[in-house]
Amino acid sequence: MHAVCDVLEQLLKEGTLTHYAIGGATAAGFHGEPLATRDVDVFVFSDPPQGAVLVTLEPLFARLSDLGFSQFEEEGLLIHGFPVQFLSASSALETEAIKSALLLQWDDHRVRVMRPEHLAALALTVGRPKDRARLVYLAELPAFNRALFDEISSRYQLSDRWQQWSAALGLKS
Amino acid sequence: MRADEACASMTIAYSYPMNDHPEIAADPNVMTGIPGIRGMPHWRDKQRSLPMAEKVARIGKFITETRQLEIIKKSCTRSAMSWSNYSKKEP
Repeated sequence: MHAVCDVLEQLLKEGTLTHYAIGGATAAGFHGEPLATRDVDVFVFSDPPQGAVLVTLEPLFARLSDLGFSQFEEEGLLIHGFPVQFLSASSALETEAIKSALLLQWDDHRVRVMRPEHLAALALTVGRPKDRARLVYLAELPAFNRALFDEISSRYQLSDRWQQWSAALGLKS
Repeated sequence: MRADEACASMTIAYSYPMNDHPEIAADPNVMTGIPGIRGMPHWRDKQRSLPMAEKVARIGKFITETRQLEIIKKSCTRSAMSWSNYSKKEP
């Protein structure tokens, strides 16, 4: 997993990616205790190729193929044996979550991970049972900034949904 | 989370909803994930405060184990389907 983080940072350093951030259960695990998940969700920004209008992940996959990573397992590209799912940021909330990701460092490694408040807001927008479970997990983290989360959910018109969910899940709204 | 840890935490949470039980006293205000029941088992508290290097290694281990469990699950499903089709055949 350390090696996966190194590959992501390399892609950023050499300009293949302009921004990236780990999201989903893997990101939540960085903020609290690690959670069971089957792949690593990486949200990315990339500039469209010269002369093109549409953003495509093709240059990213081409570069990863050059680095020796070309085998897919379901929707994830295997990087050092771990399935990594690259997702192009598609909403303003995802874009903001990537741009304001936290930079975590240890030993000689570093990785960018979405803040717990953005992960919680994204869970609110999706709404699967596992997202509700993740919201409970995130909202109860000691480092969870409720004021920031309230501000994000207000800006993205998620406050009403948060009120409903927090009442149903027994969280303090 | 290992399956035995998950079962243990669920058992603890269901059996001892009181916040003063030693197994869940690490932080009695944190929710267990089960609505209405608060208290965090010590093993969870310990995992939250792992050094980053260990935490990243643990995240990787969980991904590997989840994938292995999925492979086993798919294999069992295939086997059960196969047996079901076989048993439906006319003698």
